[in-house]
Amino acid sequence: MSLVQPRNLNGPYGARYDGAIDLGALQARHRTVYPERTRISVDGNVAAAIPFLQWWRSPIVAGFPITPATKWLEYLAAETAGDKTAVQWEGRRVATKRVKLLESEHAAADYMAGVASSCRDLIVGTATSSVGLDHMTESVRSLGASGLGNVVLVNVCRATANYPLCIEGDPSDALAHRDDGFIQVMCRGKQQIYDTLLQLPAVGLHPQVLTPTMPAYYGIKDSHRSGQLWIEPDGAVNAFLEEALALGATRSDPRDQDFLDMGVPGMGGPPGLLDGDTAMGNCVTSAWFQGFKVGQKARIQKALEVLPRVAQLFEAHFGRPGIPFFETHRLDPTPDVALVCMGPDAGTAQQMLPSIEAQTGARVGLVVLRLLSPFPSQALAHALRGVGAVGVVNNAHHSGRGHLALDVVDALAEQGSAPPVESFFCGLGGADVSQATWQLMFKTTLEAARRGRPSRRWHMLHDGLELAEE
Amino acid sequence: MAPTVSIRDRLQRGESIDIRGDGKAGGGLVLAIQTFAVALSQTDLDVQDWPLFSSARKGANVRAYLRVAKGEVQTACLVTHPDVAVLMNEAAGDEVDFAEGTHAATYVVNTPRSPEEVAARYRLGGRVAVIAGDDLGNQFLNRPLGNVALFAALVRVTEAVEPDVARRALAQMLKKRRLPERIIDANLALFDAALERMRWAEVPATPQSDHRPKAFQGYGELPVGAQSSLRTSRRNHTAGYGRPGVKIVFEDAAHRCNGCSLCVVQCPEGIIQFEPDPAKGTLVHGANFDAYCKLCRECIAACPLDLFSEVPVVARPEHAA
Repeated sequence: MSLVQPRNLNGPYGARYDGAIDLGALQARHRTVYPERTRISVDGNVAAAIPFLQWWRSPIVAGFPITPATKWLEYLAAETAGDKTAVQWEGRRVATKRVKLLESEHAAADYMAGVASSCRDLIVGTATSSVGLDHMTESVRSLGASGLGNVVLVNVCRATANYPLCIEGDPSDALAHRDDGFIQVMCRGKQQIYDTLLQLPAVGLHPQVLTPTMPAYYGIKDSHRSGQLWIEPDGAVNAFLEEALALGATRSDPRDQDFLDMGVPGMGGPPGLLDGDTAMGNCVTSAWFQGFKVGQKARIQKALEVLPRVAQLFEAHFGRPGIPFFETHRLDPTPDVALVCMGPDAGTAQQMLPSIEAQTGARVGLVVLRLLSPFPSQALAHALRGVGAVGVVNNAHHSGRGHLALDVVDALAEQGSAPPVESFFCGLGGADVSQATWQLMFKTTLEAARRGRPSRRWHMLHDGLELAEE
Repeated sequence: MAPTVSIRDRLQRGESIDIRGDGKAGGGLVLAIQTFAVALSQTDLDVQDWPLFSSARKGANVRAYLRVAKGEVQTACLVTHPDVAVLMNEAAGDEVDFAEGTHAATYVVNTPRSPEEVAARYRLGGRVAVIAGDDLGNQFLNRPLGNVALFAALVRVTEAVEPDVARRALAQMLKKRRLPERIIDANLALFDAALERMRWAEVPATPQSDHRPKAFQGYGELPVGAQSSLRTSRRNHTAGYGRPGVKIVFEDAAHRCNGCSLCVVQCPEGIIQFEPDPAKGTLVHGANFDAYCKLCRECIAACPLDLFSEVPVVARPEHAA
């Protein structure tokens, strides 16, 4: 008798081991946590944790605590410890949700790889931050290349492992991990965090994408700030996810089904994927490595097509906008200048736009980035077309003009558009970005538009003050 | 003087209201502000609340913020010019200017003093409200806990939420914390009493009551103790972390210090004072205890000659402010 069990090679998820987990039973025994639409006051960590309680596809999460992500884990541990998510089965209490505590972040990432590859139909997640994400790096890069779109890694942004230690939020961790292979989406506010979580697995699991996802929000400024959240009923959350997952299985686009078997059209099969299965643990030579990366890159770029489809479906279900590539405020008609930023401080700028226009007599717009990886270069350049100057707000330390500044300059250059770009650094380590700082950034960008070039390579700002010469 | 426009009226006019509170870790400030946020969110108002996050141990200064408006609250920057400034614990008021950034605002202070006394003590002009929260805590809970009383004072002085709605929000918050029924009932009785006992006065604003801050002047030198600094303290003096009632002293009248430098190495704040001695090495002669000593006792454990010791003190160190 052969020791090798025959595999059932049916798409779109690659090799499947049907019956290993009884999905029907899992779905049937889901304990509804929110039967009705509910409005509650929560912080960002709880907003990011609730979907894992609501999805029947998420019976287990992995965790190792780190500030400021710890409450995500504590909340799920508390909610799953009691009877709220347990069922009675053959006279016994059986937990339908579990929190698996690991001995380190690295182990948590490895554990997710194990769960996610064991059953491609389950969603498995964790939350981490800063040095925790750094400690996962080895496994996270493997996950990013693995094709395991059912992994959701919540990144609670925190000034990362550079001296001095700071537990407050800046996105240097997210930006240091842009090339790990995850689809990264930045959120601000409780509702964006929750809504983003609801949508991302459908993007990551799309058979043309098959890429893990990393929703992110700023530590402290969003993780520890409470506000109101609309929670959708479990039934609606799961119905939306099923419909969104089916977007990749409709056969309306033949490439959806054929991708794993045939690879990217014109490129042959994606090397490294065994019948579409994960490449975790494979060692390849130079003969295959680059080819594998061709497939990996093609998959993550497909997110630019799939994300809007999932977002559209989300809006149809819940009446709120789905995940955009970026938010735009006062960009139509084309303003004199625009600032490009991300994270919670964008709210201050958004609220100030009318008063800035009144003060300066100029028209000013705001772009708040959401999709960080793959970076939506073409869409961004299109949105900024005709703007007299662009100011880019960087909240993370960078040795040059800033991560986002370089991305924006590249996006504009790619489209042959070259307005002056002012680069600003502020809010590093979670520092406050005051109204005076926003005023200075708008003013400096307006001057750049008049001058036709930026005044400096970059500006370091705090509370309306230039801190240092470049 | 014209009475201060009520917070309720300003909210109805579409203004955004910023609230900031100062207190001591473990004193209930954050819970009071959180409960007020939950109460406000039962209305048509949008509200955000957040604490100033730090490695605050019991007794360290803490700060909490709340921003509320009729439309969606988008502004995310810190509250630097509060419309309502709250002082949960007067010891915290010794270390920070809880009214910083205000002028003719609304003030709520947990104190047995009168509104006029509080206005004079903290140079306040505007609507000054006081509540003897610790006394009420002792009366209803047998503990000097002023948080529920302070919450009641906020409800009454701002008039932004009806007392019965606020009372239900309080019950909900306490229930969520799985407190026994009798404790919840005692807190609700305390809430009712605090609504009655709160007093306020309209105090004329003067140039002396102007607490608007100076512009940011740059970071300057990184101070000793900055790694664990009291971020709300004026001078980053970490002595505020220490337990009250004791201090550490260095006594070496007989010049016994052997220059081993173990205390210098072990002190996490780097405050041991010494001089190089050609014969003995590092000769210790004291430490900057009053400003930076957190009472961690590392020096006591390290010294082989027992030259450091913990002694009782009656008052707080004068320089710990």
